[in-house]
Amino acid sequence: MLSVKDLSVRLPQTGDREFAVQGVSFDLNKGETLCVVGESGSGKSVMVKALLGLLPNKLLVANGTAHFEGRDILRLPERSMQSIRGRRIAMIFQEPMSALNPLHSIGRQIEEVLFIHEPQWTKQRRLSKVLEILESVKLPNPDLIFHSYPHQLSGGQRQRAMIAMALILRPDILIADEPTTALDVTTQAEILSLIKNLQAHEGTGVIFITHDIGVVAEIGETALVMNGGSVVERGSVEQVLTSPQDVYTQMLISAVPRLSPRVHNASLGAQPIKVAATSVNKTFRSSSLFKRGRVVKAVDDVGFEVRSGETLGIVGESGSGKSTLARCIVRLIEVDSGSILIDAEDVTSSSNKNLLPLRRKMQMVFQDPYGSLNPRLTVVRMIAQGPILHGMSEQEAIEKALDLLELVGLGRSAANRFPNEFSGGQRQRIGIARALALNPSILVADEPVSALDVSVQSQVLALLDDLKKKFGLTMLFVTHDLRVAAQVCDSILVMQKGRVVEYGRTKEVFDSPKHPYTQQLLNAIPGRGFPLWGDN
Amino acid sequence: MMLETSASEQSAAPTFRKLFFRNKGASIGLVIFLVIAFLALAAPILFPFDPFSNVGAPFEKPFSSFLLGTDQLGRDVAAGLAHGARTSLLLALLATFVSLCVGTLLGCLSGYYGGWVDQLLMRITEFFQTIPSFVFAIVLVAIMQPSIESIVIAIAVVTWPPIARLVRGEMLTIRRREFVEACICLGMRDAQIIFREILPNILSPIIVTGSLMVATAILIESALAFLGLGDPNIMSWGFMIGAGRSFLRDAWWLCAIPGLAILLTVLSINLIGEGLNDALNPRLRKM
Repeated sequence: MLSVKDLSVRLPQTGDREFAVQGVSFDLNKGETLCVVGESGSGKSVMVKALLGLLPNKLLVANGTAHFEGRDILRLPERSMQSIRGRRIAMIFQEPMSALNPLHSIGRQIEEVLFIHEPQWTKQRRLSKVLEILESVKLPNPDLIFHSYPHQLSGGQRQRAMIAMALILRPDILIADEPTTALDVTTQAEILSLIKNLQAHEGTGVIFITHDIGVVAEIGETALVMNGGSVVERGSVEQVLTSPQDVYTQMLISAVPRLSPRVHNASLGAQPIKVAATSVNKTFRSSSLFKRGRVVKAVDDVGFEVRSGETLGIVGESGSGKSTLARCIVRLIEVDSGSILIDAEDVTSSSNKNLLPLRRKMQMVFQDPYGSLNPRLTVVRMIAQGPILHGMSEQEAIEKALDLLELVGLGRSAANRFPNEFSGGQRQRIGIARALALNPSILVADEPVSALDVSVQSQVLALLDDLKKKFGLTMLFVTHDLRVAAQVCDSILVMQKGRVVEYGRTKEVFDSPKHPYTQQLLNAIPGRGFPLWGDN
Repeated sequence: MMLETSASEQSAAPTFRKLFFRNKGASIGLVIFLVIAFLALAAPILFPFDPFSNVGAPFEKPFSSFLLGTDQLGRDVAAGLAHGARTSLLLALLATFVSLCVGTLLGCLSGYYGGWVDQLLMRITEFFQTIPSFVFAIVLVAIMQPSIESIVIAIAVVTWPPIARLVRGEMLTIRRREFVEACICLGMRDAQIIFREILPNILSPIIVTGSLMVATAILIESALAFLGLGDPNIMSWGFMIGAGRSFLRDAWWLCAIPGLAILLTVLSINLIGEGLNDALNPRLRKM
């Protein structure tokens, strides 16, 4: 149906390489799902934008053809492209909130597509068609959704509305650019099965762009692996995931955390209790003079115990209160009630004076590799800051910072550079070095690898594991990714809407989940049960 | 261990100086401003006498016996211009400095602490913003008696609110970054976090706004002096215009020359401000 040959897109001269996309060829058949897999910067998004003629002005198609129904869509005039875009080839995006117009109701936005492409239709016909499509993407109560505005829907519902909009004209090809990346894992599973069903029903060809190998296993038939702008491997999903030929693909697949839960270390039971939380509560109130405030119970009667050297995973979807809990532990947020004991000392009630020595014991590693480092400080200053604050001499602290840089794999030469000179993975290493500078015994990590590509993610996880062994760290690891949790955690705390729904050893939680929500979470892990290369 | 390659943008990024001078207007503005600043500094050497003293016949035309002529009492206009530049620049810089200090401090506290602190400080800010600023300045100077101090205070009082709002807004965005949480975890005190960690990150917009505020301060000072609310012992551009306005038809230069000086100074400062903005605010930089 679509045949792309030798597609190249040139980058402007200031770019880090000559071509964003280089010599990409593939065919898409009717009803086929082609997964384009790659890490950030692999050129996968640029490639599909080139196909739709949506490239930013600075990027130019340098070479290649893309035949769709006998016409080369790379060289069609803008006018003819307009009749193809939306009608014959539709697209859905990662962030439905920014792809939908916040000022128009969902129904009106979908109707607009019909208005543009089927101008002869009557209003009656348009409306019934919109309701029909809203029904088919399984949105509850289509009448109500029709009149709703984007902000009134959940992330999953918005993505369904986007899919409805894309599919209403029964396009031949649907291009999906990371459509589930911004969604929670259970919502992701629903959206993936929706796309799959609709496609089977309509015979649409789907180009599915993703960085997530699990999603590929879930939805793809053929896979195209991209690295540095070129295709490094192509084949059926099964073939690519179970017996990859290319070195990069092999590296990518072996970097995916396996779902074989960590076996509980029996010696941990003899260790002293390091962190003990009992009935911690935190409620957020947004109050204003004239409006009634909104009340959110972010952490609701949570308790747990972590022994010295243990890693506790705090797992949940967005809004489950897992980050709030982590911030309560290091006292970035004051709790409403309950106690959190660190070595039998209560963090929640200690006065500012007593807090300082306590802060030494627990340090935090953050999620955002860009926001978590002060852009105005050199790396060495940033790391040395902590020890200096706690009374170490400047000379000693700098020496210590240099040692730490070496320890986290950056080397002393990184010392006098600023954060913007480093990549995401390297910045996370700097963040880890800063946390370790105070010789803490507890490390609270809030989604430390979720902003990273899978290959970098595995390096950072390996580093954390090394450091943990080396310093005997106790770790509280907040994550939404159950694959990562299975790999790093000794025990797991599953949170939903502020409450703990399941708490136990990792292996037990993964092998025999008791709470229905845990079961639902586990079932939603994409690519679960799909054997990957190097397994067994 | 395999590491990703680092994106070393630092070396390729143009320097501050290059960015500033790439803006032609900014370069011209800087030259004009330097000339005026030189005039102000050199005034006691170039015109080593009281600018209020009568040195010649009244209403002498420019380029006759005096470079820029004399006024109705035979005072040297050129001497007045040079000494007036001293007044204008000194008062404007002082007032801007005071206003920046007050605005930055209140903006920092408001943005960092939020909650009732923010509510209180912002209500106070709004209170000041609702009063027409020039009328307010006139009232303040009239109450305190015209003098250098009262004029500086009056200008600072009417110009700090926008600074406070700007700093508060910047503070709010930086406050949410995770590195601030990291600092708290390290055990830093609030003052250290606000002034050593966050403030350097919001200095650029403060400098840009501050530079433009110098121009506003010069205008307010001239307008006050024009209305006779300047310090009576000090020569100033506004006073010269005010004194010369009755003779506009017979001796146009009495108003035109100091007027032109105000125009050029304000223009040059605005041009410099724009250049600073290009060089310091990468977000707004034209690509």
